[in-house]
Amino acid sequence: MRWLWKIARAVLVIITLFFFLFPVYWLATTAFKRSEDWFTWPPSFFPRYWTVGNFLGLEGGFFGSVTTAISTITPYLRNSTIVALFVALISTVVAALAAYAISRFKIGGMGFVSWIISIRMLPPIAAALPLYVIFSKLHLVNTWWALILSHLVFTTPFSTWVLITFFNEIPRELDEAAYVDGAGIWQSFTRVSLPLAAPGLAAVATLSFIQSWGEFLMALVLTTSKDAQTLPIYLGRFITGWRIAWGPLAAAGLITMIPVIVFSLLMQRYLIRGLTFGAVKG
Amino acid sequence: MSKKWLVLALIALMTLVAGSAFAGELTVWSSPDNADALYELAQNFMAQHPEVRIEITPLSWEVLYPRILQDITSKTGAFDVTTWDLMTAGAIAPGFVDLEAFAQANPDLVDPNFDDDDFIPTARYVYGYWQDKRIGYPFYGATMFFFYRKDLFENETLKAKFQAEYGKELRVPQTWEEAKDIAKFFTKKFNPDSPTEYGIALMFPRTHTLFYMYLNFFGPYRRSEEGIAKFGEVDLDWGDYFTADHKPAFNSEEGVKALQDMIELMQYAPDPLGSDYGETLEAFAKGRVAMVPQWTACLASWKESPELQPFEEKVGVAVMPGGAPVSGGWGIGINEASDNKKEAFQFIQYATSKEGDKIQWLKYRIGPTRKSVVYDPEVLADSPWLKDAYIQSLEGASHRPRIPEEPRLEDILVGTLSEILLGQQPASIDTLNMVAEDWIKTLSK
Repeated sequence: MRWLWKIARAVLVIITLFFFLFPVYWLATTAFKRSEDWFTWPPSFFPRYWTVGNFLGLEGGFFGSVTTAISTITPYLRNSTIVALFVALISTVVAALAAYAISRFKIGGMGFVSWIISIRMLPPIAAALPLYVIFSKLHLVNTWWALILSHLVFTTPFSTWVLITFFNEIPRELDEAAYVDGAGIWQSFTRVSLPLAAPGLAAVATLSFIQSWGEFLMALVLTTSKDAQTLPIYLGRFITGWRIAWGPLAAAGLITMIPVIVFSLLMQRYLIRGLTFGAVKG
Repeated sequence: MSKKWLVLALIALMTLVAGSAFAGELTVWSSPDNADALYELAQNFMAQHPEVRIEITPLSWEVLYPRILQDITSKTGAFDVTTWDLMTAGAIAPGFVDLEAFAQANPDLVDPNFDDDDFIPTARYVYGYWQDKRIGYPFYGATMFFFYRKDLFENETLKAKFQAEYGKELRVPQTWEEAKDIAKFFTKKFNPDSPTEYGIALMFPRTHTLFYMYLNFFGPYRRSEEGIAKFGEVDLDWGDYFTADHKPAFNSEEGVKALQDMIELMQYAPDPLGSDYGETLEAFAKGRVAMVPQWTACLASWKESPELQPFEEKVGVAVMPGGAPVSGGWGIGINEASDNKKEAFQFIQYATSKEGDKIQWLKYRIGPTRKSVVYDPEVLADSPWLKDAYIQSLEGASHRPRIPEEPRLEDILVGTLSEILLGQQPASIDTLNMVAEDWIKTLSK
């Protein structure tokens, strides 16, 4: 009976892994396929002829220097990296301060906490157009600031919500011991609570980074050129009125995925620890 | 410790300030279809005008139109110049510079060699005007064409076999009726000796593709003598779906006939309901089909296809059966909110000049809009078929509506057309009447 359960579990794991990893596999192989292999029936699960033409803008006929050469990806990669890093950093700092204040001093009570998380429920499109008008008046459209500030609207509430739980789990007595030793609120926060909440900070920073990295709508509305446009917008150039250039799109998609995968793998240890922290009370 | 944080914060702030957008350059938005050509044209222009800096920003086809609308509504001036799909003319017109008025106000900026009369008349209108306002210059001329396997149509054995079976000559079909016989002849299921698996590749998916594909079949009826007598002349702003007095024309006997032509042809095509641009392009490239209605953008891909070599001997291009291929294509215009209108005006003149038009076709297969380019010896040496098929196709093209409500009309019709082709609804006037009623409701809102 036990072996039957093991087999069932293994099958379930394989199906789940297939479901999540097959698109990645398909993307990676398509990035190295020649244009004649993008549409084949039956599909070719492995490139018949390997090519790096999709990365160099040499595959797919009429596409050329502007639309499919991956050399044009650099400014977008830079923009995505800077915006996502700043969003992760600012979101974590603001959320840590807010969460500590709420956890320790009950500022605003439960109503305030509920209001913070309700912002996260706001459909992005509801904020996009007002922000566009505001930012255009402030001459912030098509700048990194426009994206950073708009992404913070969605990442900060979630980060705050997660960190409140963290600070609630850190015994108040530790703060009180610090006060007895002569520390102020700020010192107690930075020297005692913050180091203990490090896994949580890493977790929310990672989640904020990922959210910002993949965000499309705000980037679409608030940016107009490569000075500030991010990778999700860049990927759109492979969709023309006639066709989708699958090979170059897959190549660009692969380059887009790699940094966030690396970042997530590096933070994975903290992420799991951070997200499960406080889930079980000892 | 605190000093280190202060330095880091300062570095971060400087990085962000440095990332602010550069002002004073010409921002050109473009569909990816046009981006490569525009990039080269911009380089040429900047070489002649070193004081101007041009940034080409490709935006995906689905995204460009809403972004243009967003910007002209808010009057932000996020772009100076953009290419616009001919169907969007009515919606975007209020936010675009009237080029005729601008040229009159700035005669010193008008290129004396621009030669406005050189544009193909239909192209000049549909890629340039909305009603009486000139909102752009023609940039990308396009209609669908009928591509066929020249080598098979010229094969003596096949010609003799076709003559014996059908009692007529095997030739490039002039009508959809002729196309049915030829498609059947080249389908293995009906002719085991056929060199191709299917006769024709068709794309009838439940997307905007179906909206324009239907016009290839309805257009010939709409533009026939009987059609003109019944529906009146075609208004180029409202297109072939409408009568001269702007009522739906497709909910008619002619509309049903067009559907029947499509349904009959489907049996000679590989997965017509599941195919779109890529699948049909591939079917022809792999030699699976003998014929395909497609856009000129395919030519570059097919030129590289091993199965279609030698290309000149194997691929022929003709006017669409029925002679009313659907039009596509792009105009290029200037944002009313632009701060750089003068530079923008000079650039779009160059981009649509004879030189620009020729570069676009020879290098990027962006259809010419000028008569002189179509008949240019170098162009004809490269693409001899242009002489016989190009201007005829553009001048006889059927057009989708260019009115602001077009996207909603498209959604309504595509759903029903798709259900008819799937056999879920009858191909009848009653079915089309229901769509027409929805259209009228939408237009009256």
